[in-house]
Amino acid sequence: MSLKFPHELKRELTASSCEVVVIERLPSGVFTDPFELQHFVQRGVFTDAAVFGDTNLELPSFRSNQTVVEIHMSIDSKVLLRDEDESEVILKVPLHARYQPLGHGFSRVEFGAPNIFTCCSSTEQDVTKKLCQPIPTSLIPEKKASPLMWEIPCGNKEHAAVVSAVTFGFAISTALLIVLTSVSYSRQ
Amino acid sequence: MAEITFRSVLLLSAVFRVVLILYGEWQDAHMAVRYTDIDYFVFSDAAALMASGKSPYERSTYRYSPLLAFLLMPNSFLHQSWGKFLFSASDLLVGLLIHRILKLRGVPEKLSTYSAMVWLFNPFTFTIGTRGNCEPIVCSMILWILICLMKDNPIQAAFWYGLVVHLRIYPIIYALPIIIILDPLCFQHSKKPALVQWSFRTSESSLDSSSAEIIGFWNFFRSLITWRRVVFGILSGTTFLILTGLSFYLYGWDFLHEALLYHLTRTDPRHNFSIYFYHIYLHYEHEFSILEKLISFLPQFTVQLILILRFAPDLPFCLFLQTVAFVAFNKVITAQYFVWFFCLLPLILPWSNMRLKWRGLACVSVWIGAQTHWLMWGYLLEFRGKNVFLQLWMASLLFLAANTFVMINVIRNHAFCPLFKPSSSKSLKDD
Repeated sequence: MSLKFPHELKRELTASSCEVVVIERLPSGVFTDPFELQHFVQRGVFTDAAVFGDTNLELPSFRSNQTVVEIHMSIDSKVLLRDEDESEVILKVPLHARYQPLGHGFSRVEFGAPNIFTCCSSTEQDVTKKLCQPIPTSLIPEKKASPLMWEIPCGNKEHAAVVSAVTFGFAISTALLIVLTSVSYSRQ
Repeated sequence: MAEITFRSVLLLSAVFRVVLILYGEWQDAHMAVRYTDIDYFVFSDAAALMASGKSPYERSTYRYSPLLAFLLMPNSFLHQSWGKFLFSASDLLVGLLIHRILKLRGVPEKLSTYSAMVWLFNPFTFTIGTRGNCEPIVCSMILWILICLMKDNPIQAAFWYGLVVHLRIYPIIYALPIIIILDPLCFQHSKKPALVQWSFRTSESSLDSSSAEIIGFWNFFRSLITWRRVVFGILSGTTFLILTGLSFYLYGWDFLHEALLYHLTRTDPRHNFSIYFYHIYLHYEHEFSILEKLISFLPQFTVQLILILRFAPDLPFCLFLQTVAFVAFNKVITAQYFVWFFCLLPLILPWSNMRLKWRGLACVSVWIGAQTHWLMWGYLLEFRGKNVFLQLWMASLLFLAANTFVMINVIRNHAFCPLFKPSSSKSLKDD
């Protein structure tokens, strides 16, 4: 995800201590690992991160609920102080795919646009104030583009009968081989 | 060339593990891909919660006994690597116990040392402890139980057995062969049981076939109730119940569900080495019938029963085969389960007629090759997003075939050697 800041907004942002807050509602086929996000927070990539909703990482998508992820990232003043018409800030969030409902080949998961805010702190007469405001959508290139899609491989229902038959047949055959070898083993 | 002594091997292994732990800390701090196992962070978080008076089960995916979190509490106030040092120390202890068991059975020093090296220098095993996986603790307990049995200390064996089953459920499969081995024919009054020495395997008649059959199935029923068996059963059961009861008292249903029931009922639709994963995924949207559950359990049950009935008197060999089969036929197989039988492999090597060239190498190559083949398809699915479910499932079939191939070769090339020598007296009177 990249954000572009025009001159006017940059001036405003460099005056205070600011961070970008991204709130993304993830589709049910996708999740983010809260512990992985905490690792990024510890390494200073994000200033804060949280996941709300279904945090069970092991469930397939048809047994799980949606999650919302919130990322706080400070904007480096060096980025904003660059003498360019626009400055770009890139934010990367690790996402993982859940096991999808059965289908044919791939399951398409569509991402909605995130809600993005800038939160700036300023101190006046020993009182620290924090003001958050949404970033105009015109500054987010991805919002103008077509929705983001992720094609995730899924199991094929047509395989079910063959897979079950061969799985059990194979298990029984290999078990029989071991049994026969054991029974025919001579202790001499 | 200097002779390799067990002491130097152990020292070298210890130094190597310390270096690996230090390297792991460096990699975690400087590289995107961490050296430390994800499970270690789960244990550490659970231990930190316990240290602050909370339940370790507030940490999601913590599915172990609270004892493990208790052992790792120093991670919070001493150093985050405490657990890794503890697990690596257990890993070294496994090597020591392997050597001890082989010496007790009369295996020459050089062969005992080389067998122990199969564990100590196995890349899989030395990474597992240094990455923060707790399996070496379980392995060391199982080997200690073997030593207690060999030294006719059923009380201590029972305590550790109850504890290890509380920690990890899978050693429950060893219950029946242990009960069988506590045969009164092997235990004379006020005398330690005689261990069959390694040199017996080339002897023509020191243990005749009828004696070997007596230590077995028929005699088990004839002399079922003996004080050693009763003591072992009651004490191990009591230990398990006390530890489980205490954990339940402290942490309630969270403990029961996460540490016990989850493992007993686990069916994971996500890809793993098991041949059942794709079948489970394809049928996950509906409940499995009783018949389906029974059919999937039957191969496992049958193999376990036959292995016990045929090989229980040669206890280390029986435990090894049981563990390989248990892992191979399980509904979920992850790489850490392999440690369960790696720690038993050195105990059977001195009795194997299989030469490294070329049958031994063939077994190793087939097993590693099948695993690598599976990992390749797993990589394509997980990291490249290719739809290779069918190929991955077929790779898991191949992996089961590889495990079967190895088991058959190990069985065929093994010189059967009971752990205990039956007494010359045929009396079944228990002492």
